[in-house]
Amino acid sequence: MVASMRAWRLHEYGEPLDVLQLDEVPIPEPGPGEVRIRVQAIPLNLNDLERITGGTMMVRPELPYAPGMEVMGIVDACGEGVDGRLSERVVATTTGAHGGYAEYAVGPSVSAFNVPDSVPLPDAAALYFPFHLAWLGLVDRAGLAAGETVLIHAAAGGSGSAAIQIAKHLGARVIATAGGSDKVGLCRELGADVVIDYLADDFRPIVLAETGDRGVDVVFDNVGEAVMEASMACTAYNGRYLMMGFASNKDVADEAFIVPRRVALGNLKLCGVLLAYAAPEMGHLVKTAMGWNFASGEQGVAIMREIVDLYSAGAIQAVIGETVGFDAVPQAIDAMANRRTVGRTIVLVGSGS
Amino acid sequence: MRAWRVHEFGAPSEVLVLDEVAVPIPGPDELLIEVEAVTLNFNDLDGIHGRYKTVRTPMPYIPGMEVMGTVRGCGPGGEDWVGRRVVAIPSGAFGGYAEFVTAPIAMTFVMPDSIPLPAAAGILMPFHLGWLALYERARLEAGETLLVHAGAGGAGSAAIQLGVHRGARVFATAGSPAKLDRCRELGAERAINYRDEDFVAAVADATDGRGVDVAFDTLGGSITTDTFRAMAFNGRHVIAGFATGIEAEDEGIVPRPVVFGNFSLVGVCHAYVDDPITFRNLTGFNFPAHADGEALHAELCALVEAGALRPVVGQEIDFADLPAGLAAMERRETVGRTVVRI
Repeated sequence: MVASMRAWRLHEYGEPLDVLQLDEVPIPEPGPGEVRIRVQAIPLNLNDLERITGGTMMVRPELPYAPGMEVMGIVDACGEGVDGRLSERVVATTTGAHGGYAEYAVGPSVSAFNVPDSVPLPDAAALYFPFHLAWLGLVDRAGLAAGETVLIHAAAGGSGSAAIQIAKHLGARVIATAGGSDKVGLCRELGADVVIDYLADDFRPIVLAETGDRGVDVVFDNVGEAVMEASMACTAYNGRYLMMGFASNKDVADEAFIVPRRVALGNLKLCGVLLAYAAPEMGHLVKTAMGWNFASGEQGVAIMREIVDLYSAGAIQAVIGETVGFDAVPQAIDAMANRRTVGRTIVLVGSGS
Repeated sequence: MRAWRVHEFGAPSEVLVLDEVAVPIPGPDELLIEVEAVTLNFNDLDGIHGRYKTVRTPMPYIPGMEVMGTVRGCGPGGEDWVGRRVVAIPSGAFGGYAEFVTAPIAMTFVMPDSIPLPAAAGILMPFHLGWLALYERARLEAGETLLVHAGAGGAGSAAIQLGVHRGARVFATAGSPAKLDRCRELGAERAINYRDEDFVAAVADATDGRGVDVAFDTLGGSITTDTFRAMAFNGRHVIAGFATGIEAEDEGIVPRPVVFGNFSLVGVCHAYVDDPITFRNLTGFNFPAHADGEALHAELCALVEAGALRPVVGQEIDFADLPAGLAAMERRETVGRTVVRI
């Protein structure tokens, strides 16, 4: 008997409501270095949309497949070389950044991180991607210090809302941008000192006024092109500009977009930040073949521990807009695509237990 | 006074003419410097060829962006400076190939008598740039690794020494056996001949495949994008010049290798202003304050006096031979700095 499971898959690219269909498929087997997770919750990511509509993908999976790059659940099988993780409660990145919209999913053990039972659902499913990205950016790359000022764009979004909280925890002053009163309200609730509704106001003069014309020490930017020049023009001397995503125009990631003269005259650091963990041999391969650097699993474990500790101490909170059932995946990702959501959407699979 | 002037853009030996011109008059907050030595820079060559976009020059114009001499006059605000031995970047970053030049006080620094020529004329551009780049912006730390491109050149030879002084492990690239020797003499642990060795592979070999924590890159273009592959996680790649082609200054860089490389591109512009806030409000750019430059200048001079840093002056030439000196630099025949005595 081949065990089977339900998965939301697409057989052709298109809009979520048109192309996602609930299929009965075999339960995947974990390969070497992988774990299989019985999925309890699926945090939806805007990047999942790329793999639904056929947009930007580093590796294009073969159709049909289930999207879903992030899952939370219990390890129920381990591949070759993975020891001691059976029954562990984890958040994980799926192999190839897809396969998560399913009752079971596989992912590299190196990027599956323990979340203790003390963190209840749905919060347990909302602490990985946004908080790790914010941590890698603000702590690792920018070295944000107490008393410094940080400008956070799209601050009501997943990584933005995490960034507000990490920055406040570090003792920084936070200036946030968001669009509309709901999102502005969320930013304030999370502790942002100044919130700018970019739909109503031009952020640059406000940022300069708020910083005595000095500019901010750190910019947290996953918007990209639409805000970059104006943001650089309000970044301080010796500032750190975190370049972590290009939501406003994905194409620029592969275009000759950064003008060296601008970076030099700004006397600033333009920091690349990618959330990706790799085991040593994979990290070496990526470095040799592509010249890229992925973080180590040890670093990810340490960051996860910090985040869980902060959560347990009440210093940070999971920002969840809505929880939905597995049946509602297409509607939920469609709502995200149309920017109707505030905070993360968590899909609870089965009873979520 | 006598001055080498450009009457049309072109090769230095063809377009520079020794003219008799009027001594310039210093404006408010400017100094008149009697030039004892002018030091040649790659950006001078870009200007003479008409490729330098940062500064707009009149025509004809006197190139020369780095001078050493004595203050002989001043505009309002410069009275305290008269008689001082100084190094300076002239007004507009040109005008130094002459017996007299004006310079903003913001770009002028006192050179102690204890540092003789030619070393005194070899400090300002490379060591200020290297200090701002490696210490202030990239925050190079002891035990980290540093890759210096064109390590035998003016900026490169300063960067190697600043790296060694900070306690970093330094690797340098250069293009001839003599230049490689010079890099090693300055303290580079490994000198890489970029003409016959893949520097990315050499760096990987020297760092257990990690890459370097900091790269000091004055070359630009494809060297820059190749260097991205040699950066470590959390690394800092300093964009400090474009010697392989100034046009790269305005040619875009693709973000993906930077984002996926988890490293930072570090901009450094060596220019000081009196009031950084007013300047940024006018331009959107950040320049450090003259006071900050004075502080690091004092530290630099103390280190030079103590023998911890050594300006590398490879060529000392007469004023009459200035065009030939530029031509040699253009052919990559020079080592360290070329100081022209006036």
